[in-house]
Parts: sequence; structure tokens; C-alpha cells
Amino acid sequence: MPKKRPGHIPGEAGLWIFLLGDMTLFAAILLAFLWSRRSDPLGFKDAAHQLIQPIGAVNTLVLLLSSYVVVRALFAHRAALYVDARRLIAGAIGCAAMFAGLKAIEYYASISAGHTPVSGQFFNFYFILTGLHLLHVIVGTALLAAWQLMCIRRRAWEGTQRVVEGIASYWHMVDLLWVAIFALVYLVSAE
Amino acid sequence: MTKRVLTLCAWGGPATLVIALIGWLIAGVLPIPLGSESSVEQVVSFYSHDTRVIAGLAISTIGVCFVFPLVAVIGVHMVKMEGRTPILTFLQLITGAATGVCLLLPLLLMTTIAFRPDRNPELTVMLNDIAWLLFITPIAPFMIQNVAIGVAILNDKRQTLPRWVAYVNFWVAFSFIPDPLAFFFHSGPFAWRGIFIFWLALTTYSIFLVVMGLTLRKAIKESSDLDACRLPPPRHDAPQPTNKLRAARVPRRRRPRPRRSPAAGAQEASRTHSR
Amino acid sequence: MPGRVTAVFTGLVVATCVTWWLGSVSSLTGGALGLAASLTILIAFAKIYLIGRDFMELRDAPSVLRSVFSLWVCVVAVAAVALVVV
Repeated sequence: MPKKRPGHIPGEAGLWIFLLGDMTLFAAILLAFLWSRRSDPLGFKDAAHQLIQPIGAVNTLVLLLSSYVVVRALFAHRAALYVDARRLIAGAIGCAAMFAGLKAIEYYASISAGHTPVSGQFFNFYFILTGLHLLHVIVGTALLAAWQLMCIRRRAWEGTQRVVEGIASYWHMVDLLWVAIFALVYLVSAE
Repeated sequence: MTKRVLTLCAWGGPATLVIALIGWLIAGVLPIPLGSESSVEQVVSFYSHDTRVIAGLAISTIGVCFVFPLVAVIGVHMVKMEGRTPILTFLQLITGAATGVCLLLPLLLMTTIAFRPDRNPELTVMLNDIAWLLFITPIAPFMIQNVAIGVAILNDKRQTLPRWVAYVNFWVAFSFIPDPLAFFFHSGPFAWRGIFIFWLALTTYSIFLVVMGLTLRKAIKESSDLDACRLPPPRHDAPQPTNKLRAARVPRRRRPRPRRSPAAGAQEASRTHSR
Repeated sequence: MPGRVTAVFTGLVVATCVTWWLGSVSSLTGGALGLAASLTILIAFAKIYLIGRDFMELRDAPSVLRSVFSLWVCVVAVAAVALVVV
């Protein structure tokens, strides 16, 4: 495996403006959520208990797995093992599909129990945070599919490094944001 | 001359921001605009300071239209990026023009509300709702414009504009996503005056205007081929440049084929058949 | 390289289970002084830091980028804990 130069920016510098900007926006919404919780901690606690925590936890594990698989896929692509890379990327896309499916079940359960985005502060933030995150998952899945296409065409690492690292970094951001959402919206609110 | 026009248009970006903000400060829309949770009395009393409000809003209606020259100069540079099929350029021009209208109409409507401050308060509140929601919620033209610019920059092999500008455009587009939520909420951070709706969009759109204006100004200053709108006439005594490859490819004149008798022609034909 | 990444992944999974367990246990005991909440937040942001450092390969990135990322993690974690505990 070729040794990486010291101080290599994954993807490219400009991409990190987008990633850090995106993370900051999410952080602002999460902190606004916590701020809003201060005015009604018990109400939030009751509402948080309406969420199906196991689904949230499983989704966290699914995304962590998908991130791990994406890292291995990146190693495979770097080593020109295109078949391995394709399998791993397909695995990551499968994880994303599972996440979306579980999310759909969760939304259906919440809405049929009468909790909509306009029924109270907690569910307001819950649907907006998870909805925005789900949009990111969809965009990320499209990017993974584009990477899959590159591997199918056996595009070499030298020409695609910037794009592939960018796609991988975007996916890790999607994972990282969900870790924060799970911790704050599912767990902390219920405590 | 062209460079000067282009530079002026690029300054349209920051000019939009400055003039519109000044107008809003005069009208009282800034620092705290009317919100969906404002009471009927608050809305009516805002528009009752009619001279100041009309003056300020009229200035802002002119200010937001400086976005049109910016869209044009972005388009000129996107043509350079794309080449023969400037689809993203067209997309940016169309949606950029739409964004200008989406900014202009609501402000004109607000000015009209202040035209007759003594109308039925319910009508004032309704018109104010229309104006604000029309202003905040149409995200699609803005997002498409930003994404078109970003994609064109990333695909540009000549690096007309720096690549980080593409990512700023993507981030700005993303920041508009929550805005339709203003339809659903009458108060809180996702109402039209909410921090994640009005204030976020104002901040990021301002960043877009300033970043595009300044980076385009820099690109115009550094570009060399823009002022050549009239090429100098060719000098007749200068030697014509030779293109050795083309010279080599000129087919040599064919030698005239000798005329043959029909019998010899048939013999030739049978010989070629048997080959 | 795959070894380290696998170890980090295992750690992340374990941390997730720990926070999940903390969440279910403390809702029964009533969340003493927000200790469980703070611990959950700190573990979560430690996970986020690891994802950035090892999955996103920021450990090989220039120190500016690494520092900005670490700063984001610290600021948001501290702000979250402050909003929950104070």
C-alpha cells in the first residue's frame, strides 16, 4: 500500500468547507433542541419515551457498520481490488437501505400514535432533525452509487482519489451526525 | 471596456446586500422583522409609519435587483467553464432570474401594504402573511442556481473560479432546505422569523453574494482574453504560420490514370476478382 | 491499517451499547444530577471524534483541519453538557 504523504487532506480542501458547515448547522439545530428542552424537561422526557429506542440504537449500529464498510471499500479501491470494493460498496448501500426502512417504520409508528411534526416541541425537532438527516442519507446513497459505477468501470485510484475520498468523508459525516442525534434526541431527552 | 462592465456586474453581488440591508434598516424590517406570531396590532402599527416604511422598502426593492447583473456575470464565466453545451449556464441564468423576481415581488407587496395603512387590519395581516411567506419559502430557484454553479465549477478543467466556491454554493443551497417549514410553524425557530429560517437564509445568501462577487472580480482581473473584442488586423508582411501536420496531410495530386481499352479493362476486373 | 480501523469499529459498537444501556438504566433511577446524561454526551462525542480521526482519516490530515474538527467536537460537546446539566 503506497504510504500517504504527511498532511493529506481527504478529498479536497473546499469539500471541508461544506462538511464543517453542514456539521455546524446540525450542531446549531441540536443545541437549539437542548435549549428548548430546558423549558419543559419532563414533557420532553415523556415524548422521548414514545420513541422506539431499540430502532434508534439498531440504526446507529447499522450506520456505524456502513461507515466501517466504506473505509474497507476505500482501502480496496486504493489497492485496485475492484471486485472487493464493489461488494463492500453494495454492502454500504444495503446498510443505508436498512436504515431508511427502519426510519420509515419509526415514522409510521410515531404518526399513527398521533405524533406529528406539529404536535409539540419535541416531535417538532425530532422530525426536522431526523428528516434533514434522512435527506443526507439519500444524497449519500446516490454518491455511493456513483462510486460503485466508478468501480464497475475499474477507474484507477490516481484519477479518482479526490472524488472517492470526498464521497467516503461525506458518508462518515452522515454516520457521525446520526451518533449525535441518537445520543441527544433518543437517550439524553429520556433521562 | 468589457472587463469594466464585467467588474461592475460582479460588484452587483455585494451591492445587492448593502442596498437591500440599508433599505430594510430604514423601513424597520431589520433588526427584528415582523413574525408569524406578531399580533394584529403589531403588524398594523409597523405599516402605519408609512413614509419611512415605504421609503425603506422602495430602496430595498431596487437593492435586490442588483442580483441580476451578478447572475449575468456568473453566466459569462460558466460559459467559459462549460464550452459548447452550456446547459448549466442556461440553468443558472433562468433560475437566477427567477431568484431576482422571488426577491423583488414580496418587497413590492410589502410596499403596497404600507400604501394604505388604514385598511381593515385583517387585510393588512393577510397581505403581510402573503408577502413574508412568498419571500421566505421559494427555495427551488435558489437551490438549483447554487447547485448549477457548484457542479460547473467542479467540472471545470480550467479552474476559472476556485474549487472552494463550489462547496460554498452547495452549503448555501443546503441551508435553504428548512425554509418551507415556515408554512407549518407559527412560532419558534422554524417559523418565518425563526433563526433557522430567516436569519440562516439571510446569512448564507449574503455569503453567496459576497463570495461570488469578490471571486468573480478576481477572476475578471486575472483573465487575459476578455478585452480582445476586436482583434488587430493581420499584418500582410508577416510570414504565415505553417502547420506542419496539415501540410503533411494535404493529399498529393493524383496522377492522371492512363486510358485503357475495354478489353484490357475487363482483364483487370477479372484479375482483381480472383485476388 | 485495516486492523486499526476494525479495532476502532469494535470500540464504537461497544460504546453505542454502553450508552444505550446507560439510557435504559438511568430512566429507571431518575437521572442522578444529570450524570448519566453527561456521560452519554461525552461518550457520543468521543465516538464522533474517533469517526473523524480514523474513518475520515483526519489523523493524516494537516494539523489545521484536525484542529478545527477537534474544536468542533469539543465546543459542541461542552455546550451540550452545559445545556443539559446547568
